[in-house]
Amino acid sequence: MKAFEYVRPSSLEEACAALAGSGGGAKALAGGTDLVVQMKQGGLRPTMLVSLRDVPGLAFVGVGDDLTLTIGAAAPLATVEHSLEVRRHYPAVADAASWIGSAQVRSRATVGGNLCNAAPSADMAPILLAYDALATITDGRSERTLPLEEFFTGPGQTVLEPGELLKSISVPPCPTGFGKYYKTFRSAMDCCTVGVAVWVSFADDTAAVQDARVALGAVAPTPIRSRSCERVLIGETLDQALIERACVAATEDALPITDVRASADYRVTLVSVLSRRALDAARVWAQKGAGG
Amino acid sequence: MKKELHITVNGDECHLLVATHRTLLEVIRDEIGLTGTKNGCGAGECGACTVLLDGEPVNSCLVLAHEAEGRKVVTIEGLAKAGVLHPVQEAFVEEGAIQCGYCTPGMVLTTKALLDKNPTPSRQEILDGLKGNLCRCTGYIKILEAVETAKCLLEERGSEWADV
Repeated sequence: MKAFEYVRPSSLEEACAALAGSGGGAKALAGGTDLVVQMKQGGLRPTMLVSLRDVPGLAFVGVGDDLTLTIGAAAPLATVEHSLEVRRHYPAVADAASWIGSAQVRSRATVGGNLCNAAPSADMAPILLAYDALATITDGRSERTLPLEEFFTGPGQTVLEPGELLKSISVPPCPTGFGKYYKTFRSAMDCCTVGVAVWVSFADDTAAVQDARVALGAVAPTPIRSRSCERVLIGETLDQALIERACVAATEDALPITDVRASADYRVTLVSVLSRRALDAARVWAQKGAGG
Repeated sequence: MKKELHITVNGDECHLLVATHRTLLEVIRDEIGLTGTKNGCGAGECGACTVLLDGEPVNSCLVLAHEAEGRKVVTIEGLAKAGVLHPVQEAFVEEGAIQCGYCTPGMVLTTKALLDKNPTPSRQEILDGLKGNLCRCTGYIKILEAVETAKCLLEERGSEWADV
């Protein structure tokens, strides 16, 4: 690894100032499980690393009284995975975190790192998109909050300006619903081939879909929402015929590439398979009376 | 650029002058001289370099040494007490879960972290817990048996090892 300057500020202001003042050569260091690999392999050569380790409040994970979920950008995946509050109120988010990498990776890797690397296959993205999460960004002086959907601008690219940091992700309170993330991958440590997350709520004790959000990973330049699929679902009764139509609609929004992990055609097929799996599970959940 | 680094390794306080781009693995092996921690893939895939950082398993090849400032590190050398093997080590020996031995330190430490968190894992939970540790000799069955045995040994006398 090439030498670099290393600073470990103890406030957001200092961290953002260090990032802004570096002339573009600085990178924020959270868990390092992606960044250090890229630096070792020569893909990235930052002149400075700004460690977020000692910045207070960034590793917070909690569910508020109104059930708002807040995840600090530097919260390790293991914290999300094991948080009793997250497991209870947002089990699909805890599951998504628990399926990333290995125990060693999850001890270090952070939610913010996963999102800021902005891989199209980022595993935390689809489920957070399905929960309509918000991203809060800071420049050390002021904050701005935007839908997570608008955070990603391309492969490896986000709306973050030099000197800005992702501070936290929040999921606003939502009605009782079924959320779940499904993914396929070739082996334990691999990136996902395709990921599909759904969140569906139903009109009281019926199979009528009140609201639905469907998000796809690894089938477009960024993680995306499948609005076509959502439009098919909302207001209709979730039966086999609707699920079939919804799966076709989801594939229409997928614009995958062929790469070492899978061909584009195979990915499109997987979108349909995983969407069906997720919507079948939602249907079973609704039949059981909205999970009790 | 070198900076002062203070870490506790297996209970010993270490004060070192370390370049900021060195990994924890490099410091443990090359500066402190504890070579039980192995350098495998160097990219966080194989788990041979696993150490416990404040009790959590990490790939020391991906942790910058200075990120461990002020923290407690346990390596494979820190498990045995006065020449008596830790129950997880004993289980690996008992079950013959060691072939070339290169993955063993990482396997043992990952197992310890897994059992510390979940003393009664199912077979599937063990498989998930050891996802990040590769054995190129492919001696996985005996390793799984060793984890089951370690689970029993720790159930019997885990309290004697609570401080490790």
